[in-house]
Amino acid sequence: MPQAIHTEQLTKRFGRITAVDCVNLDVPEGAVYAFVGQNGAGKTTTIKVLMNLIPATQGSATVFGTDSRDIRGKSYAQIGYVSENQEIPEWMTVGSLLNYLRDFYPTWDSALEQSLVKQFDLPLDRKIKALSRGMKMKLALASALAFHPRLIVLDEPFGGLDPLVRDQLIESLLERAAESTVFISSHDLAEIESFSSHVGYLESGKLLFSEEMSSLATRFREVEIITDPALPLLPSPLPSSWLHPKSSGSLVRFIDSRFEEQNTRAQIEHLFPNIKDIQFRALSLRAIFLAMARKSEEA
Amino acid sequence: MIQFLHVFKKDVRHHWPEILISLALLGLYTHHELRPWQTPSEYASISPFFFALSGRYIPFFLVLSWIFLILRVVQSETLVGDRQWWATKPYIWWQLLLSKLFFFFVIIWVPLFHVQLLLLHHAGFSVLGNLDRLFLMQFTLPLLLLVFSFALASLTKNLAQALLGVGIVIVVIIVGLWFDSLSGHMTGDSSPLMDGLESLLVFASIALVPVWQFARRRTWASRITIAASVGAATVLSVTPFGSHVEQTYPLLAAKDSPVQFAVPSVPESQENLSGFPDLTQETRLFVPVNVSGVATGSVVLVDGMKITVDSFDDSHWTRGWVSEYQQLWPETQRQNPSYEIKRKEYEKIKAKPLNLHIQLALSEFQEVDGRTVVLPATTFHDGDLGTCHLATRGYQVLECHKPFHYPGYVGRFDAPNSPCGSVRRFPNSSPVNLDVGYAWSPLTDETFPDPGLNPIVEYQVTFNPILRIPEVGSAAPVEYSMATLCAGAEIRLARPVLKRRFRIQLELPAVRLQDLVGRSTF
Repeated sequence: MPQAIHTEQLTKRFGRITAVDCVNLDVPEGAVYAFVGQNGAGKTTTIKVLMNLIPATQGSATVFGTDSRDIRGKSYAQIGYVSENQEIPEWMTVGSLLNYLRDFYPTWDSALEQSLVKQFDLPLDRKIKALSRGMKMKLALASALAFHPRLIVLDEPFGGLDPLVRDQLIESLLERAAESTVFISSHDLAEIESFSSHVGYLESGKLLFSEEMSSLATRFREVEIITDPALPLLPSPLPSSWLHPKSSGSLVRFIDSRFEEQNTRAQIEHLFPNIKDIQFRALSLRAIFLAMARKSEEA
Repeated sequence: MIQFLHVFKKDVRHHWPEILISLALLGLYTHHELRPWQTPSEYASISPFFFALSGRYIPFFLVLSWIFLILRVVQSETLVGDRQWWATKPYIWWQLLLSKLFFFFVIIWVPLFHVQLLLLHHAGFSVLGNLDRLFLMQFTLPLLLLVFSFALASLTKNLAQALLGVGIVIVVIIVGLWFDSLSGHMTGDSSPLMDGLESLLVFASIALVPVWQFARRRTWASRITIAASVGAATVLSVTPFGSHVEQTYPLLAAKDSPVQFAVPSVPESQENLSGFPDLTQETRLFVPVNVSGVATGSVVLVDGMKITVDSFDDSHWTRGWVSEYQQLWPETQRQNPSYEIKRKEYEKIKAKPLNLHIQLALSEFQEVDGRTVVLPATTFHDGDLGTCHLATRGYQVLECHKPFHYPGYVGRFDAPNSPCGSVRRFPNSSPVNLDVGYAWSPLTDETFPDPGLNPIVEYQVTFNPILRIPEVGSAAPVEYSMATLCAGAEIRLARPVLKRRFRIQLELPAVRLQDLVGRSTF
């Protein structure tokens, strides 16, 4: 599948601080890619490098095959970028901003613009500086969607928004998801997991994993083993894919990050000969991320 | 719509208050500049004091309003930072640059150009005949103003940063001047090639870096490039390349010199004639010279002086060439060129008898196109001076205006034989007959108009009598007098043409430096 975004060993340093550390990322065209990580993990920095707002220190990034350093001018006619940190010209009214933008995009869809204005209930004659944060984000999203972008890049678009506004934004985003690739960053997985097809997790500048949501859900399992008699100590070494192993009496519990039922079962039977019962439970995405985050902290 | 026009329209809508302010100031400036020409004879006194005072500052505020406008307009799509909304929209960088330049063309340059046309016309000079030079004039102050403001705007995010930038520029200039003063240069004592290279380096970086900044938005790289070019130019300017003076001013034997100098022996004197302690870092030495031989129709300028000191213990000292600006006319008998020396160095050697080797760098000018003008009571026109009239500035002077350039001229006024009556002579303040007075302005390079907003330059032609410097050892003070003109007076005008530059050498043996200090009145 052709890649909308591709990075190789992408690194960005600010002095001695490494904000993005050798990130290899692939976002297939048509995906809704959730780029998650805690605050300060390097998500915004990665996006700024992708959007050519700041240069990378090392490595490379391409967007639709174009080197991110060459993204300028007409390249942005196919990228809708929305960030909570952008400095929108607040002296303009909502209507004058949309009028102003219209001439920049050959694919600007005035009908869609009107539909988004109506859907978001945007007051055309009000100055942007008088808008609430939620309304500003709606306006930014409307201006980013109205020209049918090939790629929609959203950097923490829902931070601090009330649930109603967030749902409105997500709804309008999903309506356009079929025609675009969506790359959306957030520190809160719950707000984006429901509609993402792919996910990447960034921790302290490092991309811990990046894959399809469905394969991720399949790959992680919580495993519970009951042994008889109880083990005084866990056997050592345990497979590296077993995260956070714990034992309590006859109960052993861990998370397998490379779950394949037959293989996992065989490994368990080898390490725990006195096994009485095995249970495999699917994990929520939040539980997977917590497990990964804890592993990263332990490392 | 073409993108640059689209952005231009947005900028006009956004910045209309600043545009109105700049246009209002331009209107005030025009009104102020037009006033003197309406009634030339009342030029000196008609303006109420407060208006004259405020009028003096109009150009300053006008230029300030333009700089402010340029900063605001460029920074409305700021090139600095990584949070710009516009930077992720399909702006074509050169169209954005063009839109800003077009804004300045329409909002600043076109109105200014029309005002300049009006000022030319109102001053009585041909508009069509001066159109080419008026266009050239746009490459002086307006272009410099645009380039410097544009660079500042493109490398700063907001007005506060721009003010900080101005502060840094001022500090750099002060440090540069301080370095320059340390080296004790004589004006013009640097190779024109190096001067040109320094200016080109700074101007090119300041003009081109904003273009690069529009294309790539690499703010720190841009700032470093400009800082590096200014640094390189500063290093070039303070690097001693050897004295250019000695190449420009070849040494002449005394017999070949168009002016003869004699250095009288200097009597011993009290070091500090004023009685006040001298706390300055520098001490000024005055070297008395008797002058003769300047031909009628010539003037010799003392451009610079260099003193080399030989002490009897075989040590040598010099500070190099130092600028002078003294005119030697046919009637000049004595002159006291001066030379600054560091006080610390002076204190070490002031009381020792020393041999002074003095070199003077001189320029000889010859009068051409000489003509006699009888001053009328009303305005008159002269091919070189422009349009002139007699005006009272404490005493009567010629006040003139001319398009684009201050003219080079030599004027001679034979006051004792004029019908203008007596004038005051200082320090006696008693009315006496005046000596011959001379007016002088060097011929400047006329390739480019002088920088400024107004194409009409105004200036005064003042006739200064020859200084009456008493002989060395005389207790009499130097006498100054003023020349006053009147209607009916005859003056002789000519254009000065540089005939040659040369250097001559004088010796002042066995003199103590302390005998040359505070002796401006030998």
